[in-house]
Order: sequence, then C-alpha cells, then structure tokens
Amino acid sequence: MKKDGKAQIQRQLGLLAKKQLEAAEKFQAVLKDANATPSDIEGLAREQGRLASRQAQLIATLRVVNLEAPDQFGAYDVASAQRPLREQVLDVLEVIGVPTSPRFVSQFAAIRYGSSLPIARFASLRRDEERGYTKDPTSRPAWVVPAINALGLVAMPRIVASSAWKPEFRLIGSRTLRINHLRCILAVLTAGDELRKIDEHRFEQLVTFAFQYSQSIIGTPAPGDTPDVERIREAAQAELTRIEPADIEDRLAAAEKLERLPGAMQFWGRPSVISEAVGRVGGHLA
Amino acid sequence: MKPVGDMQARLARLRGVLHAEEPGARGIERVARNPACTRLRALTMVSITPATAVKNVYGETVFEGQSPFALAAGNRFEEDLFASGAAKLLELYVSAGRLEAQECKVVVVPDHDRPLQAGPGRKQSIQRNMALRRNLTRQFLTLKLNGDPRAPNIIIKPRLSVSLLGVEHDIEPDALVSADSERFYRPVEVKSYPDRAGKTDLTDIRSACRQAAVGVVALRSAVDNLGLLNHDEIVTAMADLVLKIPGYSAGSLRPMTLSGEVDSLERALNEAPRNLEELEALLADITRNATLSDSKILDSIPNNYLPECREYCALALHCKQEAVSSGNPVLLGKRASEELAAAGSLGRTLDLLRSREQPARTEAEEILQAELQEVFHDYQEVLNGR
Amino acid sequence: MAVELSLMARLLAYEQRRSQPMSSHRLVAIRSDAQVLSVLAMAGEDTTIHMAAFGELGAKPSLRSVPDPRVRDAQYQLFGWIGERFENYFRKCRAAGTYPQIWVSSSAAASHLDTLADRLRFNKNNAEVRHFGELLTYCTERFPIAGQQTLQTATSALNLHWTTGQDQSEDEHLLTLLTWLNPPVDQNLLAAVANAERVPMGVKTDPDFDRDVLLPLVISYNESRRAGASQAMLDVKAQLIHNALEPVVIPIYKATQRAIATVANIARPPLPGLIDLEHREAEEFASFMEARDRGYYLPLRDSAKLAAFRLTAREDAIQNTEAAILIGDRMYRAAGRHRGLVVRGEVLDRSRSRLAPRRFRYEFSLSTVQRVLRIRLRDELQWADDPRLRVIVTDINRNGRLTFIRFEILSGQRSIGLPEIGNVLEMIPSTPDWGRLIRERGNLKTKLGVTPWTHAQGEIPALPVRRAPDDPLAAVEALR
Repeated sequence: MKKDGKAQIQRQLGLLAKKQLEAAEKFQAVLKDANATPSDIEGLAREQGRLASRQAQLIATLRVVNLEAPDQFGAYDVASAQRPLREQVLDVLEVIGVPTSPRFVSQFAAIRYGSSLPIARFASLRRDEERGYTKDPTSRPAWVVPAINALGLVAMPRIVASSAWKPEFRLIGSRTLRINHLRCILAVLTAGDELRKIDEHRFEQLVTFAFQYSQSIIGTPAPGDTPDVERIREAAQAELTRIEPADIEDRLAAAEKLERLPGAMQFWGRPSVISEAVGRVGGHLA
Repeated sequence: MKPVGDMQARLARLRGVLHAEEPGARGIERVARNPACTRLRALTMVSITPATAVKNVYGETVFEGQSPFALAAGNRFEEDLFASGAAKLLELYVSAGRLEAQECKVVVVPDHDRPLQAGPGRKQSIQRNMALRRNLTRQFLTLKLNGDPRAPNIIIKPRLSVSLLGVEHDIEPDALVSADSERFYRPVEVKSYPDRAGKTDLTDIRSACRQAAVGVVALRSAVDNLGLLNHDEIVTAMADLVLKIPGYSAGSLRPMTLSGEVDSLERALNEAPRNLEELEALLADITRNATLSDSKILDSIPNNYLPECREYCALALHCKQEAVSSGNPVLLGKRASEELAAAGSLGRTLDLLRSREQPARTEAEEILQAELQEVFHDYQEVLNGR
Repeated sequence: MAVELSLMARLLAYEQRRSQPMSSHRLVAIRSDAQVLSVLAMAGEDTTIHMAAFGELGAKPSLRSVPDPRVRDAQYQLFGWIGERFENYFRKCRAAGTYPQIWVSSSAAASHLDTLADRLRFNKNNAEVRHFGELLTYCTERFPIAGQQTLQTATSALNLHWTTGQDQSEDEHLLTLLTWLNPPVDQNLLAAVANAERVPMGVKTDPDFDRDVLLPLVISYNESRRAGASQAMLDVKAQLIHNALEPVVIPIYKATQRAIATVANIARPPLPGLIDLEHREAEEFASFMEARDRGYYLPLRDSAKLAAFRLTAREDAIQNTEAAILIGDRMYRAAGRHRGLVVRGEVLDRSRSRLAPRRFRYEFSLSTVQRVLRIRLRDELQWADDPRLRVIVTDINRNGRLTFIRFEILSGQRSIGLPEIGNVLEMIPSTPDWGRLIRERGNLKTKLGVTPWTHAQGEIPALPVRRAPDDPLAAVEALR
C-alpha cells in the first residue's frame, strides 16, 4: 500500500470525526426535544452506530497499512534500471517497430523487460518532448512523437512513434491501425522467439500476451485452445499480405506532403484547423 | 437562427446559478421516455441534469449513481473492444459477415485530442478538443457521402449534435459502422449488459435502443447539415447493439430496428415547449426573471410522475413526494391512474367509496362510485369467508 | 367493470397504510427442509458471488466470502462451498423421494442464479463448479414454470398473498413489502417505506457503499496480493472485506427468513391443489436427477424440438396452476369474476328434452349482473363447486344490466344432474388436468418425429396441388 493510502484513510477518519461530532450534537438535541418520537431517537442512534462501525473499519485498515512492506512498484532488471522514461519508451518502440498506444508500450515493456512504464506518465512525456524539440531540435537523436493522420496530417497524440522513423512509418492511413495491430503481435512473437531458450517464464508470458491480442485475427486459435505461436504468426502475416500494400501506397503519398511541411510540423503534425464550414457534400477536404 | 452567443447567454440566464452540463444521449433519451414531463424537458433544454437539480436546487440527497466496480467493468469492456484499432469490434463485424476482412478502415476520433493544458487554460483546451472531434467527424461523414474510398468503416466515438428544443447538444455515440458498399453509417451502442439471448433484461435492451435512436437522430441531423435532405433514406432507423457475453470479455453483435424508438424520440423532441422562446415564456408566466435554479420556480413547472421514472430520473423521489402530497392515483400504478381518473385523486376516490363528503359531482364519478362500492362489497365478502 | 379486485385491495392498503390480503388460501408450499440462500455479487461482474449466506429455515446462516470474486481460484472455492451444500441437500431430497426448495429474496437474486447456472455448468476447468452449475440449473430452469415450488422468491410469495398500497413495480423490494405488512407504530408508513427502499435486498451492494467502503478494501487487498504480501496479511485484509459485506448480506437473509415465516404462519388453509403441484415437483426432480445419472447434456440453448416440448410444459403449467388457484382460492375466483373469466349467476330455468330413446339433452339458463364477461358461444365451463358438471355455452343474450346465458350439459348429467332453479352457480373455465402434459408429450413426439420444414435445413417443399372448390363461399360457410 502506498503512502497515499495511509494519508487517504487519515483524511477519511478526519471527515468521519466531524460527522460523528455533528451526529452526537443532533442526538443531544433530539433527547431534549419533547416532541421527538422514539423513531427519531432510534434513527439518530443507528446513525451513530453506523459511523462508529465505519471508524472501526478505517482504523483496522490503517493498522494493516502500517503493517505493510515498503513501497514497491515492480521489478526492474538490469536493462531498464535507472534509465529515463523517454529512452525506455524509444527502446520499446524500436522493438515494436510501428506507432502504437502507450498501453501496449507499457504492457510489452512490463512483460519483455520487467520494466514499469506507467501509462499516466505518457501525457507529460509528450508535452516535455514537444517543448524540448521546440527549444532545440538537435539536442536529442530521436524524440517520442505522435503518429500523424494521413488524411489531414494532424497529430494523433494518443498513438506514440519515434521521430527516427521514416514519415510513412509514422503516418496513420485508413487501414494502418489494423496493420499496426498485426505488426505489434508479430513483434511480440519475435521477442518471444528471442527469449524462448533464455527465460521460459517470460517466453510463456509473451505468448499469452500475443495470444490475447490475436483473438481478433481470423485463423488464430480460439479462446480456451492452446496458444500456437506459428498459427498466430501465419494468420497475422496472411492478413497483412492482403491489406498492407494499398495502405503503404496511401501513406507514401501522404509522406510526400508531410515532407513538404515546415520542420516541426513533420513531427508534431499540422495545427488542427477548426472550421464549422468544413465538410460539404460534393466538396473537397482541405 | 439566433447567434450562438446570444442563445448561450439566454440559457445561462435560465440556469441561474447553475453551470451547464451536457445531457448526452442518455439525457436526451430520458426526455423521450416521459415526453409529458415539462419539468424534465425544461431542465434538459438548459443543460441541467436531474441529479444536479435534486442536489443543488432542492438540497436533497441524490440516490443515483453507479458502483465504481460496475463503472470499471463497463469501461474495461469498452476499452477492450476499442483497443488496438478496435480490433475486437472489427472481428465481431467480420465474423458476422457485416464487413469484409479488407474493410478494416478504423478511425478513433479521441486519438486526435491535443494534450490538455493545465491551470486556467484547461477548460478552453477541452473545448478545443471537442470542436476538433466535431470537425473530424464531419470530415469522415463527408468522405462517406462523397463515396470516397478512404472513408472509414468504423468511426470510434464520433461527435455529433442533436438539436433539442432549438438548442444544439453534443453526443458521442460509441461508434459508427458502414461497409464500403453501404451508403452511410449506422450507430453502434456498446453496453456491458450481459447478453443472455432471450433472457436478456428487457429494460436494458430498451434503454440501449433508445440511446442508439438518439444516434440515428443525430446522424440524420448531420446529413441535413451537410446539405442532403432525404436523410431518412440515407440514415435508416437501425443500430447495432454490442452487449457483453456473461463471464467473458467478448461482445455480441445484435442489429436492431429502431423505427419506434426514433419516431417516439422525434415526437418527444417536438412536444411543447419546443424551443427556447416557449420555455422563456413559460417561466415568465410564473414570475419575471425566473430561473430554474430556484426551487419554487422548478416546483411550479408541471411534472408527470410515473412509477418507472425511478429507473432513469434522479428527480423521481422528489416528484413522488409531490404525488404523495396530492394523492395522485399514479401512486398505485398507471392503470389505477386511468381507472380512477374520474375522481382525480386517491382522497376523492376514497370519499366516493365511503360515501363521505360531497356526493358524486359528475356522471363519471357516479359510475366510478357504483363500481368501487360493488367491488368493495365483493372483496369484503371474500374476506369474511363467503 | 373497470375497477378490479386487486386495485380495490391496493386502494384499501393505501387508505389503511397496511398490506391487504389477496388470497383466501396459502398458495405456496413451504418445505420444512427448505434452504435459504442470499448472495451478493460484485457490481458489473455478472457471474460472481462476493459473499453467500446459506442456511435452513429459521436457522442462522453459514457465511462465506471471497476478497475479490474476479480472482478465479478463490471464486471457484466459494462456488465449490455452495455446491457441496447443494449436493448434500439434493441427495437427501432424492433419497426421501421429495424435491429441493431454495428460497431467495427476490427475482433479481433468482435471475443472478440463472446467469450463474448458464455459465458454470459449462466450466471446463473445475468439475466441482460444473456440477454445482448443473444442480443450480435445475432450480433456475424450474423458476419460470408456473406453480413451481423449487426456487421461491420471498417477494413473489408475499405478493401472492398480500397487496401493498404502492405501484406493482415497487413490490419487488423485499424490505418494502415487509414494512407494508408490519407498519411501524411510531413513524409515517410512507417514510418508513422510503427508508426501507434504500437497504439493498437484491444481489448488489449500494453504489455509495461500494465507493466508500468496499473499493478501498478490495484495492488494498489486491495491491498486497500483487506485491506478494504474507498469507497472514492477506487473511487480515480478506477478513476486513468479509466484515464489510456481512452487514449487507445478513439483512437480506433475515428478511427472506421473515418473509418465509410470515407466509408459513399465515392463518389461511393451504390451497387444495398444492398437493398436486408438489407431486409434479417431485416427479420433475426425480426425472432431472435420473438424467444426470445418465449423463444427459444440459444445453445452453434449446433445439427446436426441445423448445417445443418445453413450451408445451410451460403452457400446461400455466393452465393447471391458474385453474388450481381459480378453483381453490375464493379471492382469486372473485378476481376472475371481475375480469369476466368466471361467471356467477342464478339458475332461471332448466329443461330435459328427449332426442332419441335413452338420449336426452339437459339444458339450463343463468342470469348474471356481471358487467364484464369473457365468454363466447361454444366455450366449455365447469361448475366451481363440483367440476364434474361440464357445460357448453349455447346462447348469450344481454338485456340492460342482465345477461342471460344458456348452457347445455356435456357431462355430469347423472352424477349431479340439472341445477335447481334459483340456485346461484359459479362457472369456471377449466380445472387442472395433471395427465394432459403426458398426452401432449406423446402427441409432440409423434408430430416432431420428422422435423417440420420450417425448422429443417434445405429447400421449402412444394405444396401439393389441390383443386379449388367450385363454390369457395359455400365451402367457408360449411365450416361454420
């Protein structure tokens, strides 16, 4: 249990104490009131009892909190120990190879490397990265950047990519979300292959992870069946072969446009233009 | 049309000290459930939720809300469906033969949200993101209507507007879906209600369908705004429900026809007061400068308490108290309210039964009195063992 | 007549601020070995049990909880614990040739058990859990059958016997019903009812309780579990959760026991037809257990053929139960009269006419003042006092407030004979027929020997060509 938990319980106890005081005052008042019915008195007595039982409960919890082991956020292995978050994210992105969600980055990092990349910290990471880039674009070899929508070349901040990638790999076309999903699964399987003989436990965890993610691919083992790495790989690859070529064409076309934009916009996207007039049937998109 | 700023100012004046809250599809659907309730309609129109009215106008306790466990389970189900480019939702449609494997063009509108600013600029950055979502949604709908092959097959969390009583309210259906061969989108409503086939809770299905119907109305309005008038043909009264398979994280797909729900919603939206002017006039009749944050004013606006109000409206308990005070026959059920309509109240009904106070005043009362006394006689006869 | 008897009872309950009787007999069987089960589920998790209270009639419950029902192994242990109790109870009932009876608080609880049964009986990981699911399935599959006595809800048992002064949709809350039955002496009843409504009586805990009490405890437990805390610490935290849930489940259990005791102590004789309903229950239970022994599969969805059989069984149960109550309970018969299903009238005339040697036609007429009558020509009715007298309606004639109905006797001419002029008779639509289901099953078996084309794979068969009649109108007339 975190220190926060203790503070929270103490805060709750404080609030409870106030309520108990108020309840006691009301009880005193009603006892003096000649018109008070037995039910009024009983109701207030019951309320006091309820508050007392809540207090006992909170105190018991507090006792348990104090018994607990020191803070622990998860195991760190040598590879991830003490490295800044941005670098760990970039490392993981390199392994995955396609833009993906912070959740996937975090889950993959936890299973593959045993490192903790809290999802909640990605928002501030994005802000820091953009600020850092604006200040000095050359200060880092790569940045954690948002994916770019191929349609309007605007940023998709909830999908993270590496600025070191070619533009067409940072762009999201109409089918790219699906393609990236399949690529992510293949990346997990590849990472599993590397671990197969080194760390059996992590290998199994990665296979289970890939298996869970692959449930949406037709031709993969059904839930409850034994995860079959090769079947998952083949099914993902087969779907990729069907849908990827056309999408790459779209992205290459968009990449050309992206490369014509000023430097920062190539990584952080065009500013979103909000126009109420946009979108007339028969017209063209900006 | 009146300028937006002017309308906002008028709505703010009617709200009094309360802040605006978007009613969402659930709030709009609530109005359609009880179209005769002017009080609920007025509150929804000016963007005050019933829960806020109970808490901040009447100063009463709100017995509404969802368990954090249920909320977490619902969110988890939705997130799971929409994760990884809505992979699971896509699989549902492909398995059902509604989409081909290649029809995997998915867009998640909130993925485009800009990071929120901290401090005083936060509200503005939220508003900006909402405008961005509206804009993007309009772009995708336009692509589809233009027959552009880049038009997504699935749009997650689009942002659309519904005109409720002359005031635009934003809603975010869970998703819109359309195969490449289809002319336009249909709404998808995701609910973590357990899908038990024939045993699925009817109240759950009804409520999900009504919310989906709000999506249909919003899509029709969007098509209208894009310059196409035959919206009924383009946006059919259909939606897909995605419910949870009990005990699993998987969902089930149930296409639903919503003609009845859409019609009743459209009818409800056309009940008086139909627009802001009518609402202002209604309040002005009560007193000058009346606001809905004043409990006396709110009490003066007629309600229409029904036993089922408790299913969806936080005001139900307050309104029931009013019904108790006036002895409204609806306390014994809707049927009682119809059958005892001649008497008007439970007090008068009992007077007629016991032949107390004034004799029957109308022919209808006379018939009711005879019926009541006859049934009472039979009831007593059985109780006395005859 | 618009105003029905049930509405009158509701109106009087509202006036007198107390529930009013709605039956003249006790309409449910209460087995002395019945078990009471109260469960709490975690909100949003439809196939879980967070805490269970299980006990015999009038006894204190045995309690069992899990710290977080989403953790599978612990949840299975809890299912196993309830399953063991079910198993023992079912075994005793089978040995005694009777049937099991489980009481829960309300239809929400019954519905939760149904969801669990549908899920657990297909469990591949744990045989005990699967077996529990199968036994539970027996109870939940009996539940929708009219007149069943296996899975009883306290609310429906109370609602069968008393009527409150509130809307019917509010009658599914057990504590509310008990408050209407025993109003507080020192408090306004409606205020007491409003307070009672806030006490959880279904399977879910109060959302505020979840947020303020349960959630922090469950989070704390899970954090410790994930951090590898000692078993002793986990036990302490699990106990805290147990302590928090206990005050929620115990009132539900107690209220259920109170409701059962109220119905058991009712000063009304048992419905005569209850013996038959219990007999049917024991037969069904024996048949289910035999099917278990033979290893028959319990499907999640019925096949078309099985559905036809089950639908027939349900229809039969509705007809028999309604008939048994109508014939045995004066209050329900009076309600039936006001709904026009039962005819009460005075015998006006009677006649015996000779049709042939030793063949006679027996007829009589009734006059009634009932405003609502739901009878048509050729309807068959029976005399409520002695159902051996079976008649057919041959004429209906309304004259002002009076309605004259002519009957021809179909059976009972000799055993009962023509009624005396001036006697008041009450005629009911039917009496229970406990052998009908077996006959119907036999018919269905023959008819469904070949699956009809509507439910079979393949093309629609060509209809045999039939020559149209020369005079279609005459052919229609001939059918009359």
